Amino acid sequence: MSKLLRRILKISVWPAVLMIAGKLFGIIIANIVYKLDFFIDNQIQGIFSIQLYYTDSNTTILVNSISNLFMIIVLAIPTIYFIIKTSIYQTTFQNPRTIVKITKLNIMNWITKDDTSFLLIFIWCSFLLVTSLIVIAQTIQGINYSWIGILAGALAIFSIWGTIKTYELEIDKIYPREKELY
Amino acid sequence: MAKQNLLPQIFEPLAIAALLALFIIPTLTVINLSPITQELKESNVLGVTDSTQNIVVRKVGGIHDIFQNETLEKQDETEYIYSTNIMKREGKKAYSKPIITIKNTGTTKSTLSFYGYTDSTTKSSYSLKIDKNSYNLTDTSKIQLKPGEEKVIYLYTESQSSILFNEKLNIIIYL
Repeated sequence: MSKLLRRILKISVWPAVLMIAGKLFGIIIANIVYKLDFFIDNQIQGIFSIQLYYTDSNTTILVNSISNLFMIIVLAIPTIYFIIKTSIYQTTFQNPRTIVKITKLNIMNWITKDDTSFLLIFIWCSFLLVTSLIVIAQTIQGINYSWIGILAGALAIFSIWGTIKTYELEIDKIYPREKELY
Repeated sequence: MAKQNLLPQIFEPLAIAALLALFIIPTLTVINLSPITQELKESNVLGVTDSTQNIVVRKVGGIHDIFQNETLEKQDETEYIYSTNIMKREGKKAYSKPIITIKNTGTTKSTLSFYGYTDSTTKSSYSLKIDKNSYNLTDTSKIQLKPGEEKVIYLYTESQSSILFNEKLNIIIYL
């Protein structure tokens, strides 16, 4: 098995687990906070044998929206962190003022070690994109609050931009831009 | 001749399948975890038309700060019990919520009667509001439904003093 494939597998486990955990945690929190009665049926038609359901649509939308929000947040926070960290790390090579700012903000540990690779960001962004697409689809179906759908859309765009930006930074390492060297 | 290690070649397709599974399984799980709206068959939703009564009784549901954990259960063919937890609340304030819809799907006039009680002895007054009429729950009240008529029943409560604990209210509906 190639090292690359092994690394991809290793990186993919965390976002996959967090995606499910975020959704599940959101459902549990919504049920506890709003003291909701939920039901489980095992005779639903389709590919799934077990389905969680509520008896009125307002509650369904509320629980689905809260759980989707939790799911997006748990995936978005690390992804944004990785993108910002990589971006700052690369900028410090080109702009000494960035180091001053980082020192003032007391986040020097962000640039002391380059442990955030393009692969890591690409996988986390992929999971964030998949999650955002699910949320957007559910918003279109009318089973999710529209503002959460808009947030998911913005995060989807951000994750695509983040991936491209990181790719550019990685490419710059191999083929530095001529105008910046001469 | 040196032995060729075949293990990487065997594990590579499996690893690719595992990687795909890592994307597909969470996606399907999340879609499956998304709740849906469905009516209960045996309890809480009594929307099945009864051949003798032709009365459809449904819980309105929804979220309310004061009226929580609503249930609607069928006791027998002619009796249903609606119950809710009424949370602690401020005095001199009135609270109201639509709780049940009733519909006469038959071709003849139907009469319903109801009666309510709580598990405590506070001085709160509980009543049902149907259209412009108010029915005190401590007395057995009767309403009539014309053929095809549908009414929304509102639960209404007010108290002169603050109630600082939860109460359970039960309403018995006789068809």
